Amino acid sequence: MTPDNVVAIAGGPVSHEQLLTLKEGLAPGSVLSLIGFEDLLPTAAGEVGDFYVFALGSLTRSVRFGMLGILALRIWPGSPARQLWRRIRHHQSALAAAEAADLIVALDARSVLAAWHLSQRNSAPAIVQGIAPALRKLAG
Amino acid sequence: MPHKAAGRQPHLLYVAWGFPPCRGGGVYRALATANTFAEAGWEVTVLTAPRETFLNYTGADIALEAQIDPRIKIERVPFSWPSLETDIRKYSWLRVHFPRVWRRLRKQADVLRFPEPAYGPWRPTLAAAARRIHQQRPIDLVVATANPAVAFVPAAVLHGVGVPYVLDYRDAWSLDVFSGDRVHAPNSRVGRWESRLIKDAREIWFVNEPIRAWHQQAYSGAANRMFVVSNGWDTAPEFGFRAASPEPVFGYLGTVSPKVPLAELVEGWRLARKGNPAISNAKLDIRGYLGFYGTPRPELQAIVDGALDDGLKFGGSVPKTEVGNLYATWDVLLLVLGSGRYVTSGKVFEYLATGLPIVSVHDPGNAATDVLRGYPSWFPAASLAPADIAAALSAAMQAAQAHDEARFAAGRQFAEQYRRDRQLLPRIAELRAGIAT
Repeated sequence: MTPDNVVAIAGGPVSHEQLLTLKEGLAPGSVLSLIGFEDLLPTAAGEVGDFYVFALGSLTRSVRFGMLGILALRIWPGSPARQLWRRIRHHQSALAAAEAADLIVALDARSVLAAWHLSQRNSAPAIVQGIAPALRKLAG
Repeated sequence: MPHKAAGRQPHLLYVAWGFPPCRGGGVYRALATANTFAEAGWEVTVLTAPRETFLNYTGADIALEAQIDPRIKIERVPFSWPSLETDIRKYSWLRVHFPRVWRRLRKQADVLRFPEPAYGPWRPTLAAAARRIHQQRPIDLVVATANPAVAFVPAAVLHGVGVPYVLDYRDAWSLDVFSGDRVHAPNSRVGRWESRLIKDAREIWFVNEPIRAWHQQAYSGAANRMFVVSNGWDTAPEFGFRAASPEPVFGYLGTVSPKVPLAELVEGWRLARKGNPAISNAKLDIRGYLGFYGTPRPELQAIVDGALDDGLKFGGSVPKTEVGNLYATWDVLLLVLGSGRYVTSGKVFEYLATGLPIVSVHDPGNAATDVLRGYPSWFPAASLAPADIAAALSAAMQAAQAHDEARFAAGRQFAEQYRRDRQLLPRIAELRAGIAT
């Protein structure tokens, strides 16, 4: 069955082109939603044209601690990937949209953690990393 | 004990990771090799990766499958490619939480069984499949083609029971064909594998003379078993001569890898359009893939996007069966290659077979120069400087406008020497004689 309720998640900047590419793969009448940090989204929150945007507030910038800090950042709850997952978990409508999706697309590396956690909660949707595999899923 | 095929149809095991529907550059050689052996009367079994590998990861050309000789038996054995997996459900906890650590460990795990990142874990699967196939129907000859070099494993395994083998290197394993540097020391794991494989091989094939010469020097004991089996063109184009279009099209078809001087081509193109009114209304049509995988590389996509106003058009990939129709719509072909005296490209032969004017945008020292020398409508850029590329484009434009039937026919006549079967048949005959005696 072709997915008709698609949720894209981004932990970094998202471009209009990315969304349009994804949208072109959708069947008529399908819904595309985007979840991401407010300051990194290409549009304001709410219904924008043919898709819906869930803004999770701005990404809290953190100071890097040098080489040793790379490991600390991974564990530290303030890392962008962890911030993203925490915000989604606490954003009821974004979480509901993700849980109702047929297809979840992690648009970048930062969003993989959140997509993976969503895959642990709900066995129904297909969950992929990247636009190209998403388009393959949409093509059936 | 050596196997003898006297009195029966000889059985070839052909090992190639990239086989249709794979759409990579080397796949045409693989397809042609298997088909030519079958045509020459061999029973051919191809050992390769599953279709999903190509459908999911590299991009595929489904139309190529129809060109496989129906007499060929295909054995597809499991191949996993964790680093390119995109199904997040299959990601481990470690991969999700510590991606860098996962990548590092993955890389180490890859080379445990065979010294080749990403492909190394395929070794036991290939070895088991080769033994099974040999048990079911004895194999008389193995032809294994790189890359990846893990495809050589069945050759080594069956050599243990007396089956001779051919290594079709195409390019090289220890030599970086772009830089000319040795990338694996003779005493490294790769060096030791390579040395062993070459020592026992019946023949070793390379795509051009510079690569063969490098290996002859590196492995002098096997020099007389090393041959150039050049690439070639497979199907004669069906279109005939036509005069140049009022809005001429310069076309490039192939994989635009990061080594391909795309930015230089675009700069030269802009310059040519400014300086030559005849080119100002011409189009630059790029077809193929931007990078090695299905997803375009962002930096290459950016170059293409930045030149859309300069008459550049990127049309994506073309099924092999449609290539002839595409060439029929172009007026000038662009051969844009990475630098290196060891680099030929398979595309040059297909280009030659068209009879159309060809512009070379690559290092003049590139091995493709040797193939093109003597072609009547060849316009090489003197260097990769935009002014030199623009000059070559202008010269080709002029030639395209003056192109006539005689010059077109002369181009096709020149290309006859590079028909694919002409490269393969002498070697196949020699091998047949060798295993029958």
